[in-house]
Amino acid sequence: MIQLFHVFKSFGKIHALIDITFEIKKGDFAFVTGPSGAGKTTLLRLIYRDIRPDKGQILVNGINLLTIRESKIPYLRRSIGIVFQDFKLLKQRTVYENIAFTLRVTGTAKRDIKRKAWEALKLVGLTKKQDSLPSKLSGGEQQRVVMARAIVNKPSLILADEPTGNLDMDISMEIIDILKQINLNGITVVIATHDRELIKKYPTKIISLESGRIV
Amino acid sequence: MSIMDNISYLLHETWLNIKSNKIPNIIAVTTIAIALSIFGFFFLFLINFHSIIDSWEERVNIVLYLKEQSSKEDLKTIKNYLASKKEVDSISYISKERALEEFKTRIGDKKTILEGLETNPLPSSFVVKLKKDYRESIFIKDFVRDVRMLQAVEDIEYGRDWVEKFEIFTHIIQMITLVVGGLLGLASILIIYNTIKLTVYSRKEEIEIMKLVGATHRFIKGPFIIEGMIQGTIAALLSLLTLWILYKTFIVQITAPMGNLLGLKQILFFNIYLALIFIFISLILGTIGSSLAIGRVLKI
Repeated sequence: MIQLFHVFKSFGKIHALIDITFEIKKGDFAFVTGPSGAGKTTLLRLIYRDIRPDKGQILVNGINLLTIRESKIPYLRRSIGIVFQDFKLLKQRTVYENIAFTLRVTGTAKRDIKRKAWEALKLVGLTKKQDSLPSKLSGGEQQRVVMARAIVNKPSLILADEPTGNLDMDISMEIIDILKQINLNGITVVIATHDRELIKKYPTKIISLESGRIV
Repeated sequence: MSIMDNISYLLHETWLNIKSNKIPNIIAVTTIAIALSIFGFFFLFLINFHSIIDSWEERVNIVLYLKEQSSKEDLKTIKNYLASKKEVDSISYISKERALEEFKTRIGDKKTILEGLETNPLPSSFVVKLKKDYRESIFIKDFVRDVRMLQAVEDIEYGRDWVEKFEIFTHIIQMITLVVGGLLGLASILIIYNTIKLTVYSRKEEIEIMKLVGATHRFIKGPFIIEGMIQGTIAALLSLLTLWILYKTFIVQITAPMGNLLGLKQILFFNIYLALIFIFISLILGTIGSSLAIGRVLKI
């Protein structure tokens, strides 16, 4: 599913990632962990091709991210659902519109949009809030909207960057539970987190980073 | 996704964008309208100025004074010759008697100075008006040279000095309008581009989200470009309306007497074709501005 071979990435003089090699298989539920500044976000950004590595190779779903054409990147992203710590929701659009928007911009037929959006909202338990604006929701609810948005296109991979960063422990557990449920449907899930408590509760594949290296 | 779905997506997204960004859109449209109005005002000045120039040029007459002993045959020859010239627009013959009559009318109550005259000293003449394209001194000179060959022509008068000075004057004005118009046009384009760029930049985060969920550049660009077209069109309409109100309330009333003085029959406004061109140019500027701006944001 995801393969990295001797990947290096620097920002100016800062070496964000140094010689990273690992593999995440289809259907895995994996954590990328490490303190702030360890390179977790950089690693995820490389996987969804927001940035390119300086050296090394990255394969996602068998696609080489170094040779992928610019015009093909949107199609790669449609196979990846991304969850952010800061949600990145469209503030002036309702919960339903945020989900429908993703379907629309990825070319879903109009007649399928309502059904697909509703299914995604049902999975995260937010059908009743579909007409609310994100600002009227709690942090946990907003993160559930983000997850609904991430899964609505039926991706094969979910990348979650500190999805529980702004949430208290109970809500964090709820979020991870939903991600786990998504994973049970065969979707590969990669979660970047610095929260060791969370990892302890879900013993699974862990990629541990420190100062840009795997430890 | 069908074509209908695509169109419906474009219109729906454009509508949502405008609805949820009312204030930036109002500011953008107003700013563009102001820039266009300044340019439009200048343009109105220009078309009116050209109208004055045309009316002045129309007054350029070439008068062919005929020899005292010219026969009817001579008159016919001259008339035919003039009629055959491609430069000639109209010819009118003024007999000695008519010349005297006109002279009497012109001098009014000083008629007494003519009392001692036993014969009519004024010559008969042909007054020639040249076609619009031949009213420049270079053509006039050629024409005069040809006509001078006619035996029955005694003298030719066309206000040579005046024509030449007038041409220099119009050339200078044309240069000035070209420079000022160019600068104003450039300033308007930059203002329009920057205004649209700011509205696009203010939605950088939204564009970022679109990219992350896998929208193609074509899909992201579409609604922004349509928005730019709408902004351009509304701004042009607003600007035309402003200019029209200004034209109706101030320009006509205040400058009409001045216009008459300068030989302008009527202060002109944009005709329907110019208005459509004005709207079309603004629409194109809106389209180009938004395309460039969104293109830049997508590259970041």
